[in-house]
Amino acid sequence: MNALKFYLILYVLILLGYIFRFGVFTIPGIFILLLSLLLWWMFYLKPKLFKFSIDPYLLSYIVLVISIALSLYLLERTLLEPGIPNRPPNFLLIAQFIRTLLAISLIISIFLVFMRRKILIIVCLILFCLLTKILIIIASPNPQIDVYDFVMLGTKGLMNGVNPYSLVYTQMYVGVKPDYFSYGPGIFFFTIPFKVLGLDHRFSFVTTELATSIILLGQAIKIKKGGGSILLLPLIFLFNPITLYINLRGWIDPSIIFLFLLSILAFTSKNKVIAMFLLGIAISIKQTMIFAPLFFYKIYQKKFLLVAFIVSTLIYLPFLIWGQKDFFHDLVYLLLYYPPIHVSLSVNSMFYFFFGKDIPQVFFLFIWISTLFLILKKDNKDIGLIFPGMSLWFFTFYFFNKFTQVNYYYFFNGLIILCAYASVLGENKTYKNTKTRKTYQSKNG
Amino acid sequence: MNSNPTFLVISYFFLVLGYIFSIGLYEFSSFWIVTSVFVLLLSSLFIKLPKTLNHDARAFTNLLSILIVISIAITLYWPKEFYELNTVLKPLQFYIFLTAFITSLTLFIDLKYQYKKFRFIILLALPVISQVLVVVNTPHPKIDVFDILQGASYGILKGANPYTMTFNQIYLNITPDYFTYMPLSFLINIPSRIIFGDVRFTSIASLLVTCLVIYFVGKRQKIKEETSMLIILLFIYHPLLTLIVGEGWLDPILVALFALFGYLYLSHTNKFWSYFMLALALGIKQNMFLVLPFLVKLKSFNLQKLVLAYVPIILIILLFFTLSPQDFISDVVKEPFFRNTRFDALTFYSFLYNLNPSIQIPKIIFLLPLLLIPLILSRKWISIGDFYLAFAIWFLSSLIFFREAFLNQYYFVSSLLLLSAVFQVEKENNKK
Repeated sequence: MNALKFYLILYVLILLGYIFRFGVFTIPGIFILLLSLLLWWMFYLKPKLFKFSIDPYLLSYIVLVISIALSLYLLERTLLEPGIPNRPPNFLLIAQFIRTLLAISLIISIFLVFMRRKILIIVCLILFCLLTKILIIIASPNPQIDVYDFVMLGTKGLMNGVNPYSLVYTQMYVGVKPDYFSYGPGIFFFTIPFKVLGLDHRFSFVTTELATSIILLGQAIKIKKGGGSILLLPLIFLFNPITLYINLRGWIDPSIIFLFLLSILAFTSKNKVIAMFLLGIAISIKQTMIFAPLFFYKIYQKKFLLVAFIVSTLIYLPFLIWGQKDFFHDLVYLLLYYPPIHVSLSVNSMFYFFFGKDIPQVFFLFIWISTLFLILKKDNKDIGLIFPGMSLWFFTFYFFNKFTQVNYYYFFNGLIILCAYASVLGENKTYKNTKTRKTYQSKNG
Repeated sequence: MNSNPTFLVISYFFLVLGYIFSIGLYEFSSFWIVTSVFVLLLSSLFIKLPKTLNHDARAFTNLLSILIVISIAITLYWPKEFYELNTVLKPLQFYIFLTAFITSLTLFIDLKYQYKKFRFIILLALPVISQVLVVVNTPHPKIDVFDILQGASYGILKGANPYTMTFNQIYLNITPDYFTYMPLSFLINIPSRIIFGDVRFTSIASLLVTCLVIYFVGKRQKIKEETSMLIILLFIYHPLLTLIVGEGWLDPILVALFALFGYLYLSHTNKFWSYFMLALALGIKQNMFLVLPFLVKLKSFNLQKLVLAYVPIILIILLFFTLSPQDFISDVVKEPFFRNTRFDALTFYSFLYNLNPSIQIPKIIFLLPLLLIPLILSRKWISIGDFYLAFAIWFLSSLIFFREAFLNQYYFVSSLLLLSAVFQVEKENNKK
């Protein structure tokens, strides 16, 4: 349970690093994140250094209350988001409804430890949270952000037989030509069904968040040893204080977290092909996810790892054939040559703030490769260690980069929740192994 | 009472979380958090605490460590308290708390005893340095509290009556001819005004006194030294403490007097000196008379000593009253109790006003907390820890339902919760 407690604390520290300015660069924020990263590395390399004796359920209760309190605090600023030009006529009523739902959720969460039918209360809180997410989308029919615009128009375009990588989108920012669709085509698996139903594509990300929390809850109930201690994880995940902002702007990260969770489940039920298939879909959504299967190389044979790359290639390939130039421009060139964003919360912005120049790319490369080898070298053969190793590397990779935006931090927070869950799964597995070994030993004298 | 240190520290933290982000002013989120914590505390008087909240000494130290780290992270990220600072000290303040944050992260690591002690000294020194720097570098914070206290303690040395003085103009359209506190508020500040030239040094000294009291109470009650140290750190790392000291609010002094009261009540059979501490509190702020009904239920309550302790303070108050009765009544009674309602204060009134500005609330609602007194007093309690808790719950209700309540008053209540936790450990030890 030590790992679970550590991840819950890390979850809060990372939150405090970016939520107050919605992921925009601040000196306190960058230091909190930098130190959180160092702390995570320390825990990863020397877990025995850390000792936590607090009851994990009590700690998750505290984290949950902090999360909902901060969600309520940030709500006003999320609602005042400047990029909502076409607010519905009943906007104020919707806003009041969201406020009330969050306030009720806060009261329930504070009294959660006193309540008996915990599962029922958790389900109620999940429903409340779902309602706030639906309402925030209804309250913001047309957010002015490129991500929302190109995912929405790209999906529409694809449904009408137009290549999303060759489309020119709505002009949002001065001096930025909106001729890019920077996500992989895998995202359309999530958005097209909702567009077909005539719904806003952001509902697909709300659905994946909901599915993630329901699966986590189901697992918490199912796991016998330590399941109770992760009972509140689904709520902590759903009530991430930045989640309404992420839903409003239509970032796609909830879908990747959902796929990662499914791959953990497939991994634990020994479905190697499905685990890699799911990671393949994740790669087909976000190019940087290509590194994810590498972390499984010590336990999976190469042929299984290849599944992930084959699946993603099969999804990418039609679009590559459809428009080679646009494909490379949007998915490769932009990723490699996009200029640094100095208002984002990254190490580069910190360096720029103090020294007035950017960190050379070669330094980042050195960090990425050295940390990747450091993690891969470690003898990780358990999901409780593989998944945290992968998450830690992604955090390091994005943090030591040209820019790290708010959705990336939301993604890290989601990964940390999954790490907490995986750590309990890992301990559960170790427990089973020990028991089997003991039985074997007693049988054989 | 059903409370225990774990429950109290968690309630303390939730309450602090409720008002720090709005700096003690009204916000929808703040109101709901503070109100929920109030209901939680009130319920704890009647409902048995769940097993999850059971007190365990080892887990308690871990809980304290976690809350300290989070508190420092918020302090670090929340630089509003330095808005008076526009010099090189602004970044310096940040680096002081950054050092504290880095040091605090070692709380998760099991260190040797001597390192723990060294870490404690560093962590204790850093906020004190920060407070001293703020006081030294903001000699004229733009707030009436500081101005009247500074002016009054200077005036009295020159033979002027603070209740007839006119102070510096801070706010537009408000004639600064009021001194709304009791006479001891400027008398107690005279030493720091003479020695350091600034009354706020009394607040810094008071914080250190509270820390010392927590330490000695811990020692007396055989609490592990590490636990006492962590409670002290949680107390001193209140995310807005530098602001509270910087603005010159008197509440750190009141907290110190309350802490001293508890310590003296426990350690001395003669209750005069412990009651005298509370009498001093009344001599500083008029609303401190509200504590009196709660004293009656304490074990070994002594009415005679109580009266004796309050007599000298009442005589001092009467002295200033006789000097200029009209000004005294106007400043100490009329001004604080009958001034216009503030709709930006963190109260139920502001909540209703924000829902519907045209709403008219009967003034009787301000008296609603009085109904709670018999309810709280009806519960079975005799210990000092319970006394702090009972008074904190009631005082919190009075803040929520009164015409106005600000950061300093919420700070006072949350500090009482922490003091209650320190004194509750005794009860937990006795149980075992």
